[in-house]
Order: sequence, then structure tokens, then C-alpha cells
Amino acid sequence: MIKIALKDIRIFLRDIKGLLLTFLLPIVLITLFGLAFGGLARNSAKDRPANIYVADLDSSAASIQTIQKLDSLDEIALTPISLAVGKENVMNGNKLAMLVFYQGFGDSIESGGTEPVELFYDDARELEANLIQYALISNLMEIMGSQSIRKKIMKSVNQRFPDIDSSIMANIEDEIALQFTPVSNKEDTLSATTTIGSQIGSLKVSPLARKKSIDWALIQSFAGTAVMMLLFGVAAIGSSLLGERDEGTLKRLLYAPMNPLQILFGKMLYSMLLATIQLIVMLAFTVWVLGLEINGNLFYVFLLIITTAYACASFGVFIASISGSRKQAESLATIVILIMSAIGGSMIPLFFMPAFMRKMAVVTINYWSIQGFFDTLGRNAGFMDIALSIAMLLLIGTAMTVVSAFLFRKHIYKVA
Amino acid sequence: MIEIRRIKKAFGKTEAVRGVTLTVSKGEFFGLLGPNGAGKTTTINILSTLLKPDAGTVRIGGYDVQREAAQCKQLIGVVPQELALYDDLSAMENLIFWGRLYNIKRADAAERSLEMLRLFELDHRRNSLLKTFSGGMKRRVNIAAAMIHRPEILLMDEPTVGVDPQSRHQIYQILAQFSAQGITIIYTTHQMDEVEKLCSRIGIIDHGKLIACGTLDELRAFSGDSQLIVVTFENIQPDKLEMLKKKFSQSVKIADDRLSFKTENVAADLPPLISLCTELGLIIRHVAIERANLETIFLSLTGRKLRE
Ligand SMILES: Nc1ncnc2c1ncn2[C@@H]1O[C@H](COP(=O)(O)OP(=O)(O)OP(=O)(O)O)[C@@H](O)[C@H]1O
Ligand SMILES: [Mg+2]
Repeated sequence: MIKIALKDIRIFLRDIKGLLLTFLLPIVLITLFGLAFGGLARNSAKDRPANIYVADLDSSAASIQTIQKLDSLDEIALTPISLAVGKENVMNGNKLAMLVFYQGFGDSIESGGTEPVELFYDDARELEANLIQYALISNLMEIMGSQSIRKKIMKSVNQRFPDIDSSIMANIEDEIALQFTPVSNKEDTLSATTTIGSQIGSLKVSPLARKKSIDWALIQSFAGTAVMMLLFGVAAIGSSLLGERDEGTLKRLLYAPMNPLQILFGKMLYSMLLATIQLIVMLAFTVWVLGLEINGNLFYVFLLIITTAYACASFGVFIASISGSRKQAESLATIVILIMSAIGGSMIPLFFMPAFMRKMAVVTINYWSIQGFFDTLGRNAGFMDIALSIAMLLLIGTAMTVVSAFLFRKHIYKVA
Repeated sequence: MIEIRRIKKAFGKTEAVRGVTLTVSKGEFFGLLGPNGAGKTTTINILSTLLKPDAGTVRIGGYDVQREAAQCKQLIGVVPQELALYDDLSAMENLIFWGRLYNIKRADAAERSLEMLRLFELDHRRNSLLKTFSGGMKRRVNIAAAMIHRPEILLMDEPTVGVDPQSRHQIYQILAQFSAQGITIIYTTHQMDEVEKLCSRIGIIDHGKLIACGTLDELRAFSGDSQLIVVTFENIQPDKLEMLKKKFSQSVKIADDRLSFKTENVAADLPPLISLCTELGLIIRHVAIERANLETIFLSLTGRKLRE
């Protein structure tokens, strides 16, 4: 098994064209996608501020202040409008979206309830709306965060300890206020709220976790391109199995005293090794040259690389085992890979897709791998967060391996 | 060493092998001669455990090829009809790789590979990629690859296709050497001169059946140690040929535009045969009288020429 893999590696290293295709092309693609997505994100966020309506039905000090703060941001420009006219214009397609502050916004911040804010958007422009939404949520949380959370904590303390002395209560409030005052340092804010959050237990601080923005453009470019390129690579290796059949070397392999399945697994092992190296090279390039910051645990990243490589390797032999000839395998692979990449998020980011597309995507290797990479590279996800991705990759891989093994046995008789 | 018992193999409607029984003893150089599609490759594939016969058994060195495939595989080296080698590896790398599959240590495999390449006079090209080799050179490596694990039995399926006469001669010498070392060889071909030159015993296979088997002398005797009258006609007239067969002798064999008749006494049989042909209005192009060689034996057995 290992010997067969080593032999293939030796042959591979001789093939300059193949080497370039395997390592250089993905790097070029990642860079291109990175520029494209990065440009897209910046277009609607920084370069050109997204111009949307704002309807302030509350007109409280809090809402006015929030609107001012939002408007002062580079990414967002707000035009005040009445609710009815704004809605009409969005529906007519004249404006992308409208942000509405309902009556009671100010009060709810004071009282620590949920703030009645709503974003209406043109459903024909879901793509852009998603980006706006992303920018709004993170900024809104930042602006309202300190005030609102302070109130929420107090409310929660009050509920839990109703008999508490009012002077102690005031003390606590001062203490919390002190923690929040220098809002300038965001890192501090985050750590402060988290500590208090964990003390109080019931407090939900999740919106703040988003504060550190993830470089989704780069992660998307890396993960999307990587999986797609990997699939093309392993499909070629899989079809080489049929090539060996046509050239007669498979026959000679079968003369040797070993289980025929070892030939299959040898090919898979080679695919996996190559895919792993490819992924590591691509990731290294994205980190060192394109400047991606890895937020998550490196071990989980590696785990994901291995399982992605495994799923891809099994895809390669699977395609070969269901095809009658090398040519057939190659064209089938191209079609399947393009479809998987299209629906699985390699070409178009998953979060741009409508829900039904995302549901379809779960059958693809691309989907789980890209999800996993977002979790591990983008945010510091725990094991349980990526467990599903890893489990699904293993499941898809194993299912395809089993089918391949079964069909390969049948193919042996075709050799002779 | 090799015992084949009534093996059969069909591919759909094509009955490739139809009940072949054959025993080859240790050290024998056995030639399996047959035209295209006779079932040679199918037989070799069954012997090399790649194909499961529909019926019958094969034992190699006492092991059943189906149930004890692993032991059989250690005993046999196979030279397939195709050039089963990696073009992007050098001759040495190819041989070492194939040797390693038999769990030979790397250093040993390298040593044996070099030894083999010397034997086949290719050692000066040992580090060149195989794709730079000529067809004849590749054929030689193809044979060498089957010998790396030093098998006791060598199964060869038309190993000299496309080899120039000089290299062919060299291959024959090496094979004779192997044979002298006590290696059992089964050599399939449709070239009778190869078999005549090399083999101690010969089997003739046609349409999946072994129609004759023995030493060259035995085969001659089997076909009556007679001579063969072969008459070729200008045009094909099957009905007239049938008539001739009826009037002259049922042992006349007819194939296409040609009849063959085996006889112990050419002087007595030839004149009446010719006059009968003229009588029937058959125009004779060519008449030949041949001493029995494998070609004529095959012709007398099947009525067909070997190479068609
Ligand atoms: N895998 C297969 N599927 C279908 N038919 C086959 C297969 N292999 C062989 N045959 C048929 O079986 C018959 C015998 O084939 P085989 O390859 O054994 O002949 P051969 O004696 O080796 O001929 P050649 O001299 O051309 O190599 C042929 O009619 C061939 O078409
Ligand atoms: Mg053949």
C-alpha cells in the first residue's frame, strides 16, 4: 500500500506541469478570489458607504445618539425617512434597506429589555443586504452594547437578589460603570463583560463576540478554492487507477501477492498525502502572503485538513470506481466537482446563498469543509463546534470508500 | 508443477476456453500455440489467479489457484501481453518497484534489478525513463519485471510482439538459460517458429480447446508424419469444393479458397485430386506439398492457417 503510494509520489515529482497545477494554480486562484471578495466587501462597506434609510419612531435620546453614531461610521450612511415611504421605496427597489427604531427603543435600553430594531431589505438584493446586516449588527452592538449591557446586568442582579440593599446595588452599578467607562479600548471591554457575564451566569453576551471581525474574504477564498482544487487533483489520481488498468500495470499489480484492495487504498493514501500537503501549502500562503490571521486552535485546523483530505481522496477513487474508462471518469469528475463547488460554497460564499441552496449543499464535501474552516480559522470554535463538520467529512468519505471498494472488486474481473 | 483440469471460461456468449486439461511438469518449457482469439490470454489469466474459471481447477506447485492464490502468486512470474510498466519511472525504478511488491528488501531488489538489466543488456540505460526506450527494449524490461522475485514458474503471454529479430534472438537465449536453471515456462504465441525453436513440449489451442499436445515429434506422428497437399484456387466456390470433398475424401479440409489434404503417399493421391479439380471446373492457382511442421500440423488439424 505504502509502496504504491511512494511510487506514485515519485512519478508525480517528475511531472513539472502537474506540480505547477497542484500548487501554483490554487495559490493564484486564492489570491484572485481574495481580491474579488475583499473588493466586494470593501465596496459596500468602506470605499462607498452603504446608503440606507433610517426611520426613528422612538425619537428618544438613545435612538438619536445611536443613529448619529452609526451615521458617523465609514461603512454606513443613513438617510432619515418616514416608515411608510421608506418601506414603499425599498419595495420598489429604490433603496437597499431601511433600519427602523421602534418606539420604546430608548426605554428598553434603560430597562435592559430587548431593543426593538428592525431591518427591512429588498429581498432581490439579499447578497448586499447580508453584508449590510453584518456591518449593522456588529456596529449596533458596539454602540448600544455598553449601555444596554450595564442595564441588563443590573436588571438581572435585581431579579436574583430582590432583597439586596439599595446602597450595595448602587455600589455594584458604579463598579460596572467603572469597567465600561474607557470604551476606547475594545479588548478591555470584551474581557470585562465576559468576566461579569460568567459571574452572573444568565447574562447573554454573545453579540459582543462578533466584535473582532473575521476576514471572511480570505477564509472563503482559501477554503473554497482549496477544496475545489483538491477535488480536481484527487479526481485525476482516481482516474489514473483506470489509466493503470488500460496500460496493463494494474494487471501486473494484481499478479503480486497482496489484497487487491491495497491497490485502491494505496491510491487513496497517495491522494490523501498530496491533498494534505496541498492544503498546508495553500493555508501557509494565505497566512503568510495574504495575511490571514488564524483565530482558532491550530490542532483543530490540522484535524480539519486531514479529514478534508480523506473525504477528497475517497471522492477520487469513488469517481474512478463508478466510471468505465479514464475519459469517462475525467468528464464525470469535472461535472460533479463543478456542481459540488457551485452549491457547496467554493465559488459563491455560502452565506450569500438562499436557505434552500444551503440545504442542498450539505451533501457536498465543500460545504462541510468550508464551514469547518470558517469555524476554526475565523472564530475560535471549540471542538463541539467543528465536530459536526469533521463527522460529516468522515461519513461522506467512508461511504464513498466503501462503495469504491465494492465496485473495485467487480472491476478486477474487467482487467483480465 | 502445473495441473490444469477441464477449465472453462465464457465471457457472455463468447466461450473463450472450453475445457482445457493440461499438465506441465517441473523444468518444462511448454509452448501454447494458437491463433488470435484462441483463448491463450484467458488461460494465462486463469493461471495467474486474475480470472476465476467458470469450471475446472488449476493447481500450481500443489496449491489451488483459487483458494491458495497468495502461495501461487509467489511461485509464478507473469509476462503480460501488454507492456505493463511505468513510463515515467526509469528501468531500475520500475524493476525495484515490482520487486518490492513481493516484499523484497529495497537493497536486494536493487541488486536483483541491476542483475536482470545486465542479463538483458540494458544496464547502460538503467537510469533512463522508460518512455525513452524502444519497443524492443521495453519488451525486455517487461520480461525482467516478471523475474525479479525469482519465481519457479514463468508464464509468458506473447512476450516478443514487436521485437526485432536480433533482440528476439537475445530473448530466446535468456529464456533457454532460465529453462536450464530449472524454471518451468509456459510460453504462448501464435508464431510457430518460436515454439519449434524453444519448447520441449507444445500444445495447440484453437477456439478454446487444446486440439493437440506433445513434443514436436509426437505432434508430427499425431498428424500421421505425413505430407500435406495444399491447393489454392483462383476463386471461392464453396459448393464445388463441397462436391470435391464428397467425391474425393472426407478428410479433405477446406477453408476459404484453399483445400488441404494430408497423405502418406503424395505420388498416388496428387494426380487424381488435380484431375477432379479440373473436372469440377475449379481453377488452380497454386499447389504445394509440405512436410509436417507446426504450421501444417495446425492446418491439417483445423484446416486453417495459424496466422490469419
Ligand atoms: N474480458 C473479455 N470480455 C469479453 N470477451 C473476452 C474477454 N477476454 C477475452 N474475450 C474473448 O475470448 C476469446 C479468447 O480471447 P483471448 O484473449 O484469450 O485470446 P488469445 O488467444 O489471447 O488471442 P490473441 O492472440 O489475440 O492475444 C476471444 O474471442 C475474445 O474476444
Ligand atoms: Mg492474447
